[in-house]
Order: sequence, then structure tokens, then C-alpha cells
Amino acid sequence: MNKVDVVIAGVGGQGNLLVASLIAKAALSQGLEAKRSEIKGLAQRGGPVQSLVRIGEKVWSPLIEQGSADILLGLEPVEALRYVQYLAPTGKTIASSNFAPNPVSFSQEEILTKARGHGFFLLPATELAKQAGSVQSANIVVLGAASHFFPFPAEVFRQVIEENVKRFLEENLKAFELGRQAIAIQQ
Amino acid sequence: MSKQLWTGDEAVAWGAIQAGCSLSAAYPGTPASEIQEAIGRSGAGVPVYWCINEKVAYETALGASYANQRVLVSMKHVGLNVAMDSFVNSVFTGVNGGLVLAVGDDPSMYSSQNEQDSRLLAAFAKTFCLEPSDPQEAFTMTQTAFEISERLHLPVLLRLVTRVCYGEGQVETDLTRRPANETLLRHDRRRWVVVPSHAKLLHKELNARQRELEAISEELPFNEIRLLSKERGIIASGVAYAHVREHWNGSDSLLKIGSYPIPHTLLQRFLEHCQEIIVVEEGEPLVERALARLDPKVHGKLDGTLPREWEMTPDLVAQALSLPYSHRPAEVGLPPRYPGFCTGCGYNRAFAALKRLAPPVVTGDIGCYSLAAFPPLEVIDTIVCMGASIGMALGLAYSGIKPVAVLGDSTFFHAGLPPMVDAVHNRADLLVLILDNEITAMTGGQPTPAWDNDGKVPVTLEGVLGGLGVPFQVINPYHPEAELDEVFRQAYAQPGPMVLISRSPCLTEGKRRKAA
Repeated sequence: MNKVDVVIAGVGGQGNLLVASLIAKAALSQGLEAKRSEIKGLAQRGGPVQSLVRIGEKVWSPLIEQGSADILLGLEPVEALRYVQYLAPTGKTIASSNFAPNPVSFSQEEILTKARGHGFFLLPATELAKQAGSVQSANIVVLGAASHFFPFPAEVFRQVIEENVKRFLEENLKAFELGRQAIAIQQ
Repeated sequence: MSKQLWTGDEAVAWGAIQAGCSLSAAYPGTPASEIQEAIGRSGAGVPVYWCINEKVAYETALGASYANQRVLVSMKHVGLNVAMDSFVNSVFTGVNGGLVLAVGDDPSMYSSQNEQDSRLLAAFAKTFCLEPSDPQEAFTMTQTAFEISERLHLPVLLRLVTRVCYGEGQVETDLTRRPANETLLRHDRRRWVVVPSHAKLLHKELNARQRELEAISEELPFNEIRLLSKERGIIASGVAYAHVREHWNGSDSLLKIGSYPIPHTLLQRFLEHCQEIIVVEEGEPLVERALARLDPKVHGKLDGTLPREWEMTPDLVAQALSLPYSHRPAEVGLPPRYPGFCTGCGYNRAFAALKRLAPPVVTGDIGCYSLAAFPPLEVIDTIVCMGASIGMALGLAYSGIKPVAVLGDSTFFHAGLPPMVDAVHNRADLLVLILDNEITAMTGGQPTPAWDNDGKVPVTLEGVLGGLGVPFQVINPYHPEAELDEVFRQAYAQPGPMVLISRSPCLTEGKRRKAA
């Protein structure tokens, strides 16, 4: 395995940093090197949050070059679209189709059309999280969906979730499964 | 040996703990706040002090160093501007116990009012500086910084940047902890009393010692030279070195710089070996300037090969090295996402009342409330630096314009007190609005001097303002608009200075605490 570069896009409060940390820990548990970097700025006040995770045998830079990300994880569709320039030609995007509140008015349908145009795998992460019993686990739903594209088995993710998620563990494990199934069905 | 996944901030914290640091002092500021938070959370028993500003934090550290303790003081780059007086003079006095000053620079200004390169400030103060490229180096360099500080009896600046502070990576550690230094008082007034007669000699001595600093810098393993192809060489420092390594083809000559003063012998060897050199560094062209003076074959920020502003990226390195570079175009026409006040925040209501009051000018300050300069509120006219709200309001008042100065409780303690004293003394006709959320909110909820936790004595806004003899009124911003409007109108109409304290505890921090 050469490397997997992951961009995670979302807004404050969605658990972006947790997802990034779970991916890094999963890689580490597989004997790979991981580097994680984040920009949170005014995240707490509803601003955008971006995480980068790079895993591989040897990773130097904490940053991902444009045109080279293997996986783009979108916790929100608009935020996912903000980073398409980072995707490699073969890169995959897994994004929630549920929008985060934004006082700016825009057409949701137009955004989803753009997302489909880029070949995004879209799934209603918030709705699936509700089904799993915790609306806050939408981030784990998206991680579950993306788990198909990582170079290690889903079991590795289940284990790092068990080791690192303290609250609503059952709900989060269920969220992971629902996300994983959602993409399997679309494929 | 144990392998940890740490951010650069955590790595500095653990580096200090393992080096036998016995006190940590800081004022919070992105991206450095998490250094002291990590020490506090570590369970290592190192006392942490959230000081009222960076200057006080630096002096607290210097005092403990005087007593032979190893101390860590951390702040963001603009915080070092506040602490600059103490920092520069402490290079004259020197230190006793190791003093490491960890500074978080914020290239690209993700959460800052400017970008500046703290390596230049270490050079200005004529002291030693280390620049880690990743968390592993942040950990190792912090420990080395303590050793060098005690060897040279000088403070050592650890220059961090956002991508090192908030970048997480593996750190190998043997988890051993050096015992703390013994507490000792060794008075030496010739050094520690910087009156002109002493300072004249101290400056001469400091200049004479620069060669010693350079010699140490030349020896350190953080600088690494690889003389390979003569055609092209790359010099890189700090996190820029990590970006360069992503693209290094294994044949270009490579020089990594990790310590300052610049190791000139290494540079000279590299310069003689390579026909063309590209210098990649984050911030100012510090290394490049030292080289470009010697030879025109050096390319970098000075000749436009790389941009002068914003953070370094692997993309920029690829372009500077003329590597093939392509990516899909960014999506256009996406709705913007502005940060806004948290739902229910009392600041929103206080600002709405201020907007209805419509004073001719509102001077602002550093904190969450900078959001009020943007739509939909657009009520703040200036934001310059910590404390400038009241400072600038003084000048406006003296010019015959009655301003309203707005700042938060933590910022008031940080740098609002001195200009407030002037306002009282000069009967400056201004209104100060202190937005009191009872916490340092924007940086993640650090304490303020008004807290009474852990047996500390609360220093309240009421107590301080009462002591200054300035009239003030505490208001609840959730009261009806008409009532707020009347209070604001009366406060502004009264000849100043006058202070309104709008008190509404931070809801976001409250929720976070409840969850924890």
C-alpha cells in the first residue's frame, strides 16, 4: 500500500475531528504511519471545519496536495463540494445529503445535482443516525459508508470506535453499520 | 519505547513534562492554547497558570527560572508582541532554570489578526530558536531546548506553526521523566538588574556570545545536510521541510534547517556544492536572505519563486520545483458559510441594542464578538489588537467624538485595564461595554481572574471598576429590548467614562461542561 489521503469536510459540532482521529488510530493499529491536521478556526461558532488525514508506510507532510486525495468525506454536502479540487481522478467522495443550517439562502436541489455530477456517493446520514438512536452520530454513519474504501477491514474501525467513543457506543456502532450498508446498497 | 499519537501542542507539553518542567504559564491563543491545556490534563502534577496576559505569563516564568526551576511559557505569535519587553530584556539578564518559550505562529491567519514569523523575534532578541517540522521533533526539541537554555543561560524560543501545533503524528518516547531542578536562589545583581551601567556590559557580553550560539546550532542533529546532485539543491525548514520531503526525488541535494542562529557553515558548504538553490520556509525568507546576499543562484520568496504570504503547502513546493501539477477545478457558486454567534448567545442581544443606539463609532477588540463587525450586525468599526478598543477610544474621545469601546471580560483583564486607568484619570468621554461571558470563550474556555475555583480569589469586574472609581452598571442582555435601549441611551448620554457590563455566561461552554 502506498498511501491513502483523506479530506473530511463539515461544520462545527458535527464531530469532524473525531472521525479524523478514528481514521488515524485505525491506521496506527495496522502498523501504518498517520498524520492528521485540522483547521477549526471559528468552528465553535458554526464555521467550516476541515480535517486532513494521511496514512501510509511513510508520511511526511501533514497537508494533502490538490488533485491527490483518495477519499473525501463530506459531513455536509455544501462543505464536501468546497474541496473537490483536492480529489485525485480516482478519488471517491462519500457525503451526507442532509444539509447543516445556513442563514444564506440557496437551492438544495442544485447542490445535490452538483454533488451527483462529481460522482459523490450520497446518503442521508442524519436520518440514518436518527435510526441508529443518536442524531449526533451522523459522522459515524459517513465513516461507515466510507469504510469500504480503506485498505483495512471494517472490523478495524469497529474496534477503534469501541476503544475511543465513550458516549452512545451502541448507537455509534449501529450508525457505522447503517452507513456501511447504505453504500453497499448503492454500489 | 512507546508510540503515541500526539499533536505538536501535546508533544511540546509532554516534552516539557519529561524534561522536568515544574511550572507552565500561558495566556490562551490559537494555535498554542492546547499546549498548556495538555499539561493541565496530563495528570503529571505540573502546575499551570492561565495568566492575565502574555507579558505576565512570561514574567511569571522568568521568576520561577530565577529560582532555578525549569519553566515553559506558551503563547500565540501576537502574544509575543505583548510579552516582547520582558522577553528581550530577559535575554540580557539571562535565565537560571531552563526557560522555553513556545510560540504558535499562524501562517495564513486561520485565527489571527496578522501573520508574523517568530524566528525573526528570536533573532531580534539575539537568542536561540528551534523549529520543529512535526510532532516527533516538537517533542525532542522541547527537551533539547531546556538543555540548551540551561547550558547558555538564555531563554530558548520554540517556533511552532499552526500545522505543527494542530498536526497529529506518531511520537516515540521512552516515558522517562527527568526530576525537577532543586529550588535555589543565587542572586547576581550585575546580571539581573538591567540598569544602564549593567546593561551596557550585558549587551557586549551577549554579542560576544553569538558565536557560541552559532556553534551549538551547527552541531545539532536537527540540521541535516545531504550533498547529492550538484545541479539543484533544496533548503527547507520547519513544516516546509515535511512538504519538501513529499516531493523530494532523492537526487536533489537537501539541507534541513531546524535551529537558529542559522548554521552558516552548513549553508556555506551547500552553497558551494549546488549550482541552483531553492529555499522553502514558512513565514519570512530568513534563511534565504542570509544566502541571497552571498549568491544570486538562490531562489525563493525574494525573487517570486514562492509567495511571500500565507502558509507553505506541498502544492507550492511542487510548483517551485517545476513538478507536474494538476487538479480538478474548484466548484464555483457555492453558498458561503459565515460563522455566527451561537444560538441564544447574549452577545447578540447586547450588540443589537448597541446597533439601535447607533453611536458615531464603535471600537472593537479580540474575541468572539469580532463577529459583530460582519453581517447581519455590522456594528463594530475597528479591531486592531488586544485592548485597543479602549485605547483607541481614548484618542477618539480626545478628538471630540464620543465612542463606544466593546471588549470581553478576559480581554479587559488582559489589556483593557491600563487604558481604562487613563480614561478615568483624564475624564475621557467614552462608554465602555464589557461583554462578560465569565470565561475566555473563543480559545476554548480557559479561566479568567474572576473565577473562584480551586480556592482562588475571584477578582471581579465590579471590584476592579469600583477600585478605579469609574461608574458602572451591570445589565442582563436577555431583558426586554425597550429596557436595554433605555439603559444604553442613558449610559451613553452620561458624561464619560462610564462602563456597562452585559453579563451572560457562555452557553456553548456551559453545554460542553455539562456533557463532560
